[in-house]
Order: sequence, then C-alpha cells, then structure tokens
Amino acid sequence: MSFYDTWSAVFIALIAGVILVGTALIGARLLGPFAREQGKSISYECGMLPTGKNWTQVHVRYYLFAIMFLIFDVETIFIFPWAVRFLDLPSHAFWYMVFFVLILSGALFYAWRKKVLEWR
Amino acid sequence: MITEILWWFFAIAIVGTAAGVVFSRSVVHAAIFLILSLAGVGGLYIFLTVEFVALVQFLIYGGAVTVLILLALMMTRLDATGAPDKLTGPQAPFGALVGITLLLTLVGVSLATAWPGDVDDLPTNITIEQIGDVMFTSYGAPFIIASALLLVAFIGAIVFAKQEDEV
Amino acid sequence: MSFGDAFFGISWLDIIIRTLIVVIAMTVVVIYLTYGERKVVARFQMRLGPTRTGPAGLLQGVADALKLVVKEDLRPRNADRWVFEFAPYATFVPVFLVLLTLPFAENWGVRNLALGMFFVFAVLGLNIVGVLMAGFGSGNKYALLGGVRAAAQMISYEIPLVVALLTVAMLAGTLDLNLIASLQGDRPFILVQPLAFVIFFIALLSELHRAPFDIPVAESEIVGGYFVEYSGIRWSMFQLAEYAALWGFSIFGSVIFLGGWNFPFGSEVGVGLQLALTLIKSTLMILLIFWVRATMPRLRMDQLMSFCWKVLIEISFVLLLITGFFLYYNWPQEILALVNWGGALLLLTVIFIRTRRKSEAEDLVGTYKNIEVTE
Repeated sequence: MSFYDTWSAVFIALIAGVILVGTALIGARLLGPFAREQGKSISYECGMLPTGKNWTQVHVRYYLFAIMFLIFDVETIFIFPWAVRFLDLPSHAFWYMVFFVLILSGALFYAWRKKVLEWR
Repeated sequence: MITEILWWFFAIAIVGTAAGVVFSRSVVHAAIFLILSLAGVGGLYIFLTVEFVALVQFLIYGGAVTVLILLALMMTRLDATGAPDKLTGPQAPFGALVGITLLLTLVGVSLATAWPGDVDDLPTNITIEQIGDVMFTSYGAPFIIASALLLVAFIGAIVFAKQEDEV
Repeated sequence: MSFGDAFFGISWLDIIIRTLIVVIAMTVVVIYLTYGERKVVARFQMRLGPTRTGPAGLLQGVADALKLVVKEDLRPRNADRWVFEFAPYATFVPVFLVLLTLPFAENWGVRNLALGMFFVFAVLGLNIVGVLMAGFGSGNKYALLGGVRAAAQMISYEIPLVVALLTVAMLAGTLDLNLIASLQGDRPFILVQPLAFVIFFIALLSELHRAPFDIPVAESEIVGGYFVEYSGIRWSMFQLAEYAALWGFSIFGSVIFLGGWNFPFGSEVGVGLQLALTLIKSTLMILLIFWVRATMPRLRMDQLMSFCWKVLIEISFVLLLITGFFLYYNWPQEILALVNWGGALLLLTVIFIRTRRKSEAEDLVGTYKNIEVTE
C-alpha cells in the first residue's frame, strides 16, 4: 500500500465519521418530536433556576497542569524516534536520551518540591 | 492530480479557518478555528510525505497547545453571550506596526527563498527511523539544548502560575 | 485482498468498503457493549440487569438506540450555539479515526499506518478538545466544571499511557501495530513488560472516564459532567464515542500487550480464528474494565491527579530507563521480565492496601466527639 493510499484512508475515515454524526443528528431532527416551549431551554442546575453568570472562571491550576502536560508531551515526542532506533545507534545517542530524561525528571522534582503537583 | 485537488482543498481550508480566527468575536470560537487551521497545516505535512511531523503537528498543536489556550481563556472572565469587548484602543497603532512588520518579513522571506521547485523532487516518505538517525547522531547537541529549553519553560511556567502558600 | 481497482494510485473502493465494515461492526458492538455492561455490572451487584426486552434482555441496546433517535433534541437558550453543535463531532471523529488503524487480524484493518501507535495518541489528543468544547458550549456551570476536569485528567494520564507504550515500542523497535502483533508469536509482551501493562491499563481507565476515574462524568457530584445539557441523539453521540473508544482501546491493548491476532496460534491459522482471538482478547480486556468499575470506589479529583503526577509518571519514566539499559547493553530479558513482574506486583499490592485502608471520612466519624467547636 502506498503512502498516499494510507493517508487518503485517514481522510476518508475523517469524512465518514463526520457523515455518521451528521446523519444521526439529521435523522433525529426528522424523527424526533419538537415542541416550541421556552421553559425547557433553561440550563439545568438541579431543578433550581440558574443563578449568576452562565460561565464561571476556572481555576489557575488547570492552566498549570496543561502547561506541564505540554512540556512532557514534547518530551515524549522526542522519545518516539529514539525508541524505535536506539538499538542501532551509537552509545552516545543512548546516553543523550538518558540525560534528557534526567533533566526533565529534575523539572518534575522541582515541581514536586514547589508543591504544584498537589491539586488545591 | 488528485493530490493537487486535495492540496488546494487543504490550503483553502487553512486560510479560511485562519480568517475565522481573526474575524470571530468570541475568543473561544477563535481558538476552535485555530485548532482547525493547525490541523490543516498537519495535513500539508502529509503532502510533503513527512507523516511523523504531521502527527506531531496534530498532537502538539491540535491537542496540547489548543487545550492550553482553551484552559487559559476559560481562566479569564469571558462570557460567550455578552457584548464583545472594544476591539480598538491606544494599542491599535502598535498592533498595526507589529502586524505590518510581520507581514513584510514573511512576504520578503518567501520571495527571497530559493524554493526547491517541484514536490516530486523530494525524497519519498521520510520515515521516523530516518528522523531518529539524524536527530540523535548529527543533532545531538541541539537536542540536549532543547531539553534545557524545556526545563526553563517548565520552571518559568511554575514560577508564574504557582499559587502562594496560604498562611 | 483488495476490493476494486486503484484509481490515481489510491484504491478508493477498497477503503470505503472497509470503512463501512468498521462502521457497521462498531454500531453493533457499541449496542451490545451497553447491554453487556449493564448485565455484567448487575451480576456483580447481585441483580439481573435487563431481562424484559427480547430473550434475556438481548434487544435492550436496540430499544435504547431507537428511543434515543426519537427523543427531542434540546439546546439550552444560553448555550454557545456553534460550539455546542460541533462538540459531538469533535468528540466522536477522533475516536473513529483510532479504529482505522487497528489490525483486527493479520493485515485486516482499514489501513495499517507505519506510525500506528503514534497516530492513536495524536488523534486522541484531538478528542480532549471535543470534551472541552462540550463543557464550554453548554453554558452550564456543571458542564464547564466537568469539561475542564475531564480535560485535566485526560491530559495528565496521557503521559504515563504514552511512556508505558513507548517501553513496548522499544522492545518491538517499531510503531506499526500489525508488526508489533506479528513479533509476539511466541510470547506476548505482557510477559516481558507487565508493569507497563498495569500502567497502561490504569491510564486507559482514566482516558475512557471509567470508574474509579469517572469524577468528570460523576452523576452524584456534577450531575453527569460535560454532557449534562445534551439530550437524545446528541447525548448518544458522546455515549457512542465512549463505547467505541472502549472497544477500540481494548483491541489496541490486546494487540500491543496480549499478542493480538498472533499469540498463541501464529499467522498460519487463517483470518477466522485470528478474528476470534482478537475478539476473545478484547472481551477479556473489557470484562477486566467492567470488573474494576464494579469493584473500586470513585477517586477524588486531588487523589486522581496526585496519583498520576506523583506515582504513575515517575514509575513509567523509571521503567523506560530500565528497559533502555536492559535492551541496549543486552542484559538478559528474563531479568528485565523479573524486575517488571516485581514492580507490577508491588504497585498492585500498594494500590490494594491503600484502597482497603479506612478512609479519612471513617476516621472522622469515629472521632467526631473530640472536634472542638471554635466559632
């Protein structure tokens, strides 16, 4: 199977997934009942009338975990090409990755000491 | 031929969604357009037969960075139904200056670069093995420097966003 | 085997027919997974589960699906309309793309990507965006809270998941799922890397929002999480995505750790038996997930996050380095397996003891007499 063949399969599956959801939604629109009544479109807050703003601010810790995830995600991306090739590479390439993981472990250690890994 | 049609489809989609980023009133809508635009750029990497880089684009920009952006936006006092904030202010001339400089730089660079011409001249299907070989033999030092960069970014983010201990 | 001729170097018809087969298989599997989960969990709780619809309740999933199609499709007045409408697409389509690259039998998938394992993570990352969109678009405080919690949990557990699988990729030397399965003819990788399997399994539960990691979709805390405002068919799209992911990832796990179509019969037995093997192994994975769901209590958000960042990530990186040293310096793989089994048993024992420990709440009940009222 050629390269373009494989990736056009990905593209077709993408379109197929969108069509699948789209037909389901349109089918429900055609089959399901619809009544024009305003009360049911109030957002659900356990049966009470909604209070305050609809959107609340989220806490800063979500941002902190997102940025830590981003750093570690980039790290795992560097490990991917290494993981499939490291047996055939010279030994300094192996030690580069050990060093790399250790540096990032230092970052994790710093975060632990600064108590940012706690959810509070 | 078919790849050319698909290429144009992706190119138009990228430009269209990028325009959506600029023109949408809600910042969250802009962020979602940004995801589509960045994922489209990932599609362009596939036309260049570097599937690893394309998937990195999907993973880092489509997944991680946009989740970061969305969470950062939700941290602010935004309201999707409220009136949009005033878009111009005293920063407008500086913004225009930066924008025009960036535009001129990009146009200048793209005109000055000697493009390799036809895509068919490129080696076909650059595999992850080739990328790994080159990265860990020829570019070992930049790789280690990248780890230091990641470390600095990590510590910087913690210093900025860390909550002070409650007394 | 290929359906139809190639057209511009791309066999369109072949791809479309295979995709359709996957779509139909997915629909049937999801309908029966919902039934199966209710039945299995009911037996765990000494109930019968669905019995009325059809023989032994076998048509319950079909009846539920029909009911969902003919339900009214509501959109709250203060929802962010377009974000709300597109969130089901952004949640389901990445999960569907995962199914594309799975080898159900030898070379029997839609297409086998050379970077299959990496592709699965790349598209899974896009799924998180769908969850956040649903949470934000609903214009509901519970939904927003569920969405950001789900996103925080999914991004955190993605790291140990990826690193645990990277140790297998190091063993196999490839990311191609079909090739990984074909390397496991004599021994599945779970025998060599059981600790990686344990980490993978725990992180997988979290990625799929299964109990005990289901705080983002917890009914009793935040009334269902990010899809609280979705009803009818739109809600069922989230459900479809969840169960399709359950199915897809159990096949993914069985290909990577349990030998997929290969172990123990090898590649000569023909497609039928290989499909049956995949089915049996993925069913085992799913039953294990249901078992954990029926057994373990729900973790709090802070427990869940510190378990990921303080336990799983450290263990997975240590495992990565250990595997690297063993493979690079050609130390015997038996010792690697031994170290791994020791680690896996230790981790499971610690988890077992910690979950059996009396909770802080119970301690408080015993000592409430001693609490001084200060104000």
